[in-house]
Amino acid sequence: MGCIDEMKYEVLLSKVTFKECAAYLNSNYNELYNVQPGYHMFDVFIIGVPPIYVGVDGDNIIFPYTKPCHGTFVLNINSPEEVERLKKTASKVK
Amino acid sequence: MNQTHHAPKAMILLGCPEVPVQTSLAIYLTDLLDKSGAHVRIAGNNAALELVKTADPAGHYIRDTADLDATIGALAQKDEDADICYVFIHNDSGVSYLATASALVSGECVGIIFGKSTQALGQQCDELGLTNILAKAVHNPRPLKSKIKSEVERWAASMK
Repeated sequence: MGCIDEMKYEVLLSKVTFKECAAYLNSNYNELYNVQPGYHMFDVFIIGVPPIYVGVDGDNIIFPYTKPCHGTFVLNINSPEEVERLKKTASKVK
Repeated sequence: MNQTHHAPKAMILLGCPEVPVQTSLAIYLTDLLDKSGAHVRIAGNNAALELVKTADPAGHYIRDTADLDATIGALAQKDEDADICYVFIHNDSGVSYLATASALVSGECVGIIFGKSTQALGQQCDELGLTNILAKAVHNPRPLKSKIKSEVERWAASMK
C-alpha cells in the first residue's frame, strides 16, 4: 500500500462536511461499499461518521479523507489492488 | 476495561487549534483527569500538540502526547485503547473524529463542543447518538470549565 501523498490522486470535492461527502458518493457511483471507521486504505485510516461510503469506478477507488483543520475531501485514486481488497473486505451497498 | 488494576487510561483527541480555548481547556482537562488517577495521553496534529507543550514547558501537566493519525491507526489495529476518550470539536471534522473514536474505543467517548457553531454540532452528535457536552466558547474558556469538571467527576465516579 502506498502513501497517498506520493500517489497520483484527483480531488473531487474539498473542504466539505461528511454528510455532503456521503451524499456525493451515494449519488455519483453505481458501485458503492460501506466501510467501518478506521478502515485502512493506502497509508491512512478512514475517519468518518457511519455509514462511510467508498465508491468504485473500474480500477479507481473514491473515498473520504478527513483532516482536523480542513474538513473532508473526496479523493479518486487509480489502484486495482485497493479496489480488489475493498471488494473482499467491505460490505457492498449497491 | 473497568476491572483493570492499572491506572485508568484517558485519551484526549485535539481538533484543529484555530479556536483559542482548546489549548487551555485541554490542559485543564488533563489536570482533572490526572488528579482522578488516570494516565492521560493527548493526541493531536503537530500544531495542536506544540501549543499544549509550549504552554506547559516544564511538563507539569502534559506528559504523554501522540500524533493524531498514528493514534487513530493504533486504535483501529487494537494496539491502543482507552477507558475514556474526550474529543475536542468545533467543526464538522471533529464530529467525524468523535464518531470514529466511538467505533474504535472500548471505553466511553465524549465530545467537548466549543467555538461558534455549538448548537448545530451538538445536534449533529445527538442525532448520531454521540455523547457530548457543549458551550459557546471561543476566546474565554469559562463557559466550559464547570461542564468539563462535572463530566470528569461523573466519569471518575463511574470507575469506582
